[in-house]
Amino acid sequence: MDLEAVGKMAELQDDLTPLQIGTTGKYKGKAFEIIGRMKVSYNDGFWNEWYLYFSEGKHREGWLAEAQGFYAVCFDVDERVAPPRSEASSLKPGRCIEFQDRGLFEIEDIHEVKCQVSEGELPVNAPKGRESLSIDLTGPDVQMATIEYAKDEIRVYAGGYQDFDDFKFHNLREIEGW
Amino acid sequence: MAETPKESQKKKYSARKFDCTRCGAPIEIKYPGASLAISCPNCKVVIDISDQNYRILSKYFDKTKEYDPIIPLGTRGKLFEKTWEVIGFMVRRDKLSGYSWEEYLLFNPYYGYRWLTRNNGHWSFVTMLKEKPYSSQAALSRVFVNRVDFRDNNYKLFYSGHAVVAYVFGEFYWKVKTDSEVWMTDYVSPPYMLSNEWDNRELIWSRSEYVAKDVVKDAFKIESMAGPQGVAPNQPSPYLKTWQTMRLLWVFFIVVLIGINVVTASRALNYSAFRQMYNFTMNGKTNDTTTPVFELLKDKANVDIILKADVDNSWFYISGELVNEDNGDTYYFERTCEYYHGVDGGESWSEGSSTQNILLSGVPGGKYYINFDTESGDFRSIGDRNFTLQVQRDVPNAANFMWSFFWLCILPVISWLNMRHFEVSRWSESDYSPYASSSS
Repeated sequence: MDLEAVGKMAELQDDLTPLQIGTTGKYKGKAFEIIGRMKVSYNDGFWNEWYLYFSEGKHREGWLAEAQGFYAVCFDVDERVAPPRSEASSLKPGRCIEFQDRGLFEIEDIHEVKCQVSEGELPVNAPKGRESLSIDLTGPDVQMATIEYAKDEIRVYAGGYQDFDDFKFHNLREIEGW
Repeated sequence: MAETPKESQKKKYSARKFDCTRCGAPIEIKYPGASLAISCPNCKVVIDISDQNYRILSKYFDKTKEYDPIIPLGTRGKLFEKTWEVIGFMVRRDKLSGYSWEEYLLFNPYYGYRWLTRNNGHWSFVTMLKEKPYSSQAALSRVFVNRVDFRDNNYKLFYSGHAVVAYVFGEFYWKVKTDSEVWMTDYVSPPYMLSNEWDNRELIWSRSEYVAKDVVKDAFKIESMAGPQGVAPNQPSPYLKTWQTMRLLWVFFIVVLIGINVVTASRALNYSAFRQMYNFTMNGKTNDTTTPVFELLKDKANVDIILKADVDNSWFYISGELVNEDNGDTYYFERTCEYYHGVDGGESWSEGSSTQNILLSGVPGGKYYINFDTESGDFRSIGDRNFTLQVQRDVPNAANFMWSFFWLCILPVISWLNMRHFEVSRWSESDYSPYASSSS
């Protein structure tokens, strides 16, 4: 009996997301498939980070952040735009950070997050239990970004929000009654 | 190298049940995968459902205040082309005035959350924004401003104050607490309203769109629903379209009217067809004076008979007929010239005029003469005086223009008044009314 799988099943029992591994869609016209996921939680909630594989384009790997019906796709960017780790604890919502040619981004919220459960393929090793300080930012024209201060790395992602219908999703999870 | 979807991922989604931490009543969470807080239908405490021990979020609950949602929780309806289920109900009030409004939390597992707000019976559909409105007054969004721009619309500040959660019922995607408060600012551009809520940790922008009462009533199949009262901040004005159309037509017709006037005035011959001075004896009468024959040019035009009598605290009366020599057509006229003046109690006064105009319209061209009788009166003097009779042909007529202008203005003015009255009512509830002087 695979205890880990049983544990995962329990963790995902209350899962209510229309996405799943194998869901395909398009972001700004580029086709992708979902190949992995991390469900992260913080003090006042949780969200899903879906790992994407694009079959075309410059960026082959991306993330789809899904929270409360908002969907944003983002890609790895140079982590040097992020303030140094020593400043991380002093960052506050409302502060603006220059994202090179993407413009000025404003900090929306800051959460201490923990990876609750993961599945599929991920670029991170042993993701479960991984802790980080996650900073969400919004930029001009529905752009978004995330700065993640993890134990031994700083990761920065930038991208944009897109409406559910514009993703033209296929192979969505069936949600009973809907 | 994508994985193929596994069969196990086609899980069934089910509600979760537990017993109320406070009163023990059974509670069912309909969407445990999305909700974070739920209220106990029995004792109304709000419970944290992300907590394994079902911690109580709001310990205090004022039982004397109960509100009934008009749309029962669990009801589904189609609004803006999507199906929404009402899963939560919240009453919020303005801390200062105590004025309260209702908010219905809508859920769709694909599209997330929306709100329906009910304010004085007016409904709005609210979507949270990830895109920030822009203000030319401040680079940062956390500064209080009078106007903001969002997607080609300019929004005006309507309300700002503390909004307090007065009552919650159902399930919510955040850990809602009664008595929690946010600083809220509303900006309007009907049918939209932008709201900004700030609680020192988070700043949320949302956009409301006005929804007619019957749309909500039909969508959620509500039997009866009280109608709205007053004018809502984001209610579209029923008079605005009429006024805008009217304004365009108005400008158009005024331009046309001015054009017509300019053309007719420039084409007017405006010449003196006849002019002669006559004598009259004060307090006397003359009968049957006939003028020489004069010619009126043009097929049809007006005639201005100008009478100028030498009256000074006296009157002069003329009654006459303009006769067409060829066919005998006759135009009768009569008029009194009187002019009085004096000093009364140290103030000088005057009334009347020694010149009178008699305008006859549409007089055909031809040869004409005038027959007239006169009469005059003066209490103080007798003696000979003069009067002049002049016939001016085809004069530019300002009266036509003025009357046309007047009639042309009536509908636009009514339309503008309606429009303005509606706006004044809308802004009467605001502390930032541009019509502040006309609101009580």
